[in-house]
Amino acid sequence: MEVVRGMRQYIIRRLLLSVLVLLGVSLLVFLVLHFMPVDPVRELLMQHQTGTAPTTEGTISDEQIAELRKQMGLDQPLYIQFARFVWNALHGDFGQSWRNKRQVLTMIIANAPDTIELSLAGMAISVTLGVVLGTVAAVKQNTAFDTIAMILAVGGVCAPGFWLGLMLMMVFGLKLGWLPPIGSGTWRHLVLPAVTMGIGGAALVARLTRANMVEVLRQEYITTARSKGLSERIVVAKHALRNAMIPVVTVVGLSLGHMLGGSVIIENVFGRPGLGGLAVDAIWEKDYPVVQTTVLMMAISYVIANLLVDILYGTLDPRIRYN
Amino acid sequence: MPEQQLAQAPKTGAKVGKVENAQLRRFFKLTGVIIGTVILSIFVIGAVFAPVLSPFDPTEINQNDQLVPPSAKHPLGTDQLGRDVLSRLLYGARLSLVVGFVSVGIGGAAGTVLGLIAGFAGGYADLAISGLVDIMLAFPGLLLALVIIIFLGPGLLNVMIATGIGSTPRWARLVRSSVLSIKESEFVSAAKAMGASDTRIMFRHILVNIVAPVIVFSTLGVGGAILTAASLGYLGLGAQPPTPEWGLMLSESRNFISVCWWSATFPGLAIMLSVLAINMIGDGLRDTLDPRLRGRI
Amino acid sequence: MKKQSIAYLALVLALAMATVGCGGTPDKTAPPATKPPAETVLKIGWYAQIDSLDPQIHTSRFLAMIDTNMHDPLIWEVEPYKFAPGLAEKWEVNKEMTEIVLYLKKDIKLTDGTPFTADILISNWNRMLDPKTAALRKGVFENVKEFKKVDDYTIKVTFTNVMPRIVNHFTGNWTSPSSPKAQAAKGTEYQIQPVGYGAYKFDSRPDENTVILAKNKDYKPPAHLQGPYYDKIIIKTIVEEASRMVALRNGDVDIIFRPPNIEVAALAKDTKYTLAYFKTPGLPQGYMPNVTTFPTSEKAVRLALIYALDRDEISKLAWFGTAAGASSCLASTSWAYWKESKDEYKYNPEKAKQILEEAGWKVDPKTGIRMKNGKPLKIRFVVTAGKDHEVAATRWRAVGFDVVHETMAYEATAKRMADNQYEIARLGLSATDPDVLWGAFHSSQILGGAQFNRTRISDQKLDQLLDQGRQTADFEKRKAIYLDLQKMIMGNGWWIPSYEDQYIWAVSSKITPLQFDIVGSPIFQSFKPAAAK
Repeated sequence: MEVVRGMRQYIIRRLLLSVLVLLGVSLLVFLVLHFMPVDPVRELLMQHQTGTAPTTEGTISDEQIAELRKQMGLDQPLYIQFARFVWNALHGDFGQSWRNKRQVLTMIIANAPDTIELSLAGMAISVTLGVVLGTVAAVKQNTAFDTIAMILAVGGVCAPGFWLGLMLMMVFGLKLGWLPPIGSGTWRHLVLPAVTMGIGGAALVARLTRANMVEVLRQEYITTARSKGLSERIVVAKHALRNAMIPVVTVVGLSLGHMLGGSVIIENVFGRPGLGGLAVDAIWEKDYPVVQTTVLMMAISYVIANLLVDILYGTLDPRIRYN
Repeated sequence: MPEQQLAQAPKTGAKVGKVENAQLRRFFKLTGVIIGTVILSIFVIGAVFAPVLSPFDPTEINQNDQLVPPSAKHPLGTDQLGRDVLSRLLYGARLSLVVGFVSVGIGGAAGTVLGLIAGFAGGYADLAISGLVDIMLAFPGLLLALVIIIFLGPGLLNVMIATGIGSTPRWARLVRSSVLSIKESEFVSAAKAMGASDTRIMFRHILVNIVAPVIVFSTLGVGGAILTAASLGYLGLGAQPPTPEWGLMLSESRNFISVCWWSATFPGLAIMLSVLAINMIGDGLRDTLDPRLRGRI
Repeated sequence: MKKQSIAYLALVLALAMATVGCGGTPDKTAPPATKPPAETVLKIGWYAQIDSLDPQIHTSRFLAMIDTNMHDPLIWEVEPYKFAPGLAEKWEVNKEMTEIVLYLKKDIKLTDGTPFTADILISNWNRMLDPKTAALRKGVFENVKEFKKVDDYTIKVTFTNVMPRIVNHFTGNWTSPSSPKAQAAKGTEYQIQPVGYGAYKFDSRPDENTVILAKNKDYKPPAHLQGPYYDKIIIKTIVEEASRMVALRNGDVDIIFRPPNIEVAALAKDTKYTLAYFKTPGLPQGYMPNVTTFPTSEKAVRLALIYALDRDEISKLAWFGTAAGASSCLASTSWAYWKESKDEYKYNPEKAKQILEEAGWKVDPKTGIRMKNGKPLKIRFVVTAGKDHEVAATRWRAVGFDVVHETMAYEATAKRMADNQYEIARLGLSATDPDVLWGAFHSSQILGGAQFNRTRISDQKLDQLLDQGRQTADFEKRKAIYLDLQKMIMGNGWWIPSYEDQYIWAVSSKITPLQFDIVGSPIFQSFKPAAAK
């Protein structure tokens, strides 16, 4: 009972903190967008004028600009704008895209599944590849395999995602033709982007797994298990792996953040739809409501993921709770 | 969480930070460090002597040499405007290295100041700073730099600032936890009991304790900054054409990879190798100075 | 032990979920469900997100390429100055050219059944002008004094000033009727699901990147067009040009807009495909030197900038030869184009250097930059990203300019324009009428409107000629005026031509080649499968 009550308090505390952080995140994004030195209204009006001759009298007047500002709600003092943003957000209204007047939430919901799919696939690859590599490296410590595996791991972290993606695309997509180089729609389209996403994480997981496995393998109860005559494989699988998993859980949670950030680049490289692509497009087009909400959504996912990881971790290690 | 473990890491006194001769010797013998240093030296030399080493002017266009594969005249080929890739890479090395170091400088300075304030002052200052740090850490890596650069606008200088600010929260946390652990340590109370002045003790001991993590963090930070900067460059938010920035070069060659593998491969290879070299050196530093930091930094 | 089991379990669960997530991807390229076997489908690979298909809201030249096929205009401009009846069967213009009376076709129903009447048009146009709609297109009616319904099928539009091109004004697809009922019902989603009258109508939007149009069975084509033939048109957005190419090669689409420039030469030789080109008329892509700042205030400097540019090189390097070098301030496809400008302003770096020398600009041997009275020949080239700029900057440097090439997003350049912090800016405008010059060079356009007069030239004689050009109705007289204008503008170095854009379509040979309307929009109703010829 005591344990459960402690857990509940811990969860509540973390939850409240997360809400505060989310509010802070929205405020930060909001402030960044509103203190930019350029005028989004002018930009919006002018953007659509580029390339098209002003048809006889099709020019932009100051009244038009003022009117548009009023419509966008940009003439109100900042705190009112922010309050309104939060209020609306809680009701599911994230405003309209400045480019095409569609509801931002609709656009996000339309694009989210692709990013979620990519992130999950990426994480799966990170974890499986990383755990396997790390475990084998630990078991075969200080052999050639170990060294090579760890160098690969370091390399995986250092290679820029967009470059890795382009290289994979070139080799497997274009030269060998095994997989479609660009686009989305079938599971085949998912392979290259997911691998690109996952390699960085796999490297981290591999190193962490190896480090923990090495420690664990040394510990006494393993020696005891060994002395009991259990086969090496069982020892590794049952005891060592379980214990080494704990910090890996943390990495999985943190890697969600990398996935989200990475999706920005990888969706662009592979021409896939998704939140990352939506965000980059909106940034280039200065479509603030979309930028604001997309970034917010990503941050929210990250916060929630961290919260879940913390709770999980708290379940495993009571010392953390009372920190 | 790893960061919390970090808070507990440097516990005791002076020895940990000091680099002894034996350690130095061991450090330089590490394979990783040797390889890393060799590779990094190549880049540094290339960057410093770019004007001498480049066969061509990096902005010189040539309509007859458009997208030429690697050859004697152009060892790494040419790009869409007939510009020599090798020359552009060499000049690009200058930009990347500068960005890496300046970012770490900015992030380190800002983060250290914040961390010191939070650690020493405690109370509301600590609460405010830790809150800000938590909010910034709520953004996954690249996204934070992205948000900052939306505000600042594209450009190489802004990339340095954005990447620097992006790394500030982690610096702040590092410094703060070092300060906190020192404040509570017995060594300090003992020194106080002996009558030494407050601030002087704390400073001295904090500095000594912090040297190891800071060195390691800085080194690894340069690599991270180069990667983030290249990502921003790839998205078109960093240095603008015709600057030969590595990330930008990659995005410029993206549309031609079906006919031209060289203009996409080499810039990326440069990024990877430079970051790899720096990371190998950083890992070596960490293993030498304080192996307990393994898995935590 | 228990805690570790939980962790282990959680991990396994996460992995399991991930694997399920990977495997269960629905194939989004599957065609829509029910389809009668004889239905003919055309698939188009489009290059960008289709944000809007409402011609009364957006002003995009490219979106119009699609929505024109769903919105017949009131009057068709078949060739410059040649008009044919559209949804208006007759029209009358008053002598002063301030008023037009449109006699609407009867028995036309919009695709949701709404009968087409004068009321519909008035409702549409008022919506366009309503500030709440924030229609970017409203500029076209800003000098309207009044829309008057004469009867159910007659409407009179009065302008506040003389409009020599008054008939042309009603050939735009924004004059086409839209259903107010649908607008009210769909709210903000109306923009991407328009309801009007045209050869095709909006059918559905199965996902973010696909728009499906269906043949309008009640459509009666105008006299100069035939069709529509295809029952359905599926427009897929494929932003990556490389993917578009792949889609065309695979047969996933039959037509693509904007194939990768690097592939165009190869495609032209490939018998499996035909290429359709539309050279955009209007102001070609070029650079505007600021006459109010030093050193571009000097005519010699400006002329040198023109002669120093190799426009064919720009076309080759930046566009892989798919664009053409420009030579005047009007595109070569314009009926008013000054043909001799090609020779007059040919690439001649020696001449550029000579002009500069004679004007007192001597090369400083240490820096390679020209100096005059201790001041360097320094220019700030403030533009958006583009390979042509890089080429231009290099060529200018070759004759001794110190080019500070500043690349930034469009709105940042707009701010620099507004603040007068630049020496060279960039402009290109697509338009069928040479009146486009008014928007680019009239003194009222320096700070007003879209600020297209980036040279900041304010010259009385120039203004007079520009005004005359738009007030004159006679074709030959106008041609003469625009010839004078081009000579004046080029002679004073107020325009540095660069390249002429063209729209390129790669079409599978299984389809008859494309027909375009006068502004370069493809006429979907003219497409038919090659076999059905």
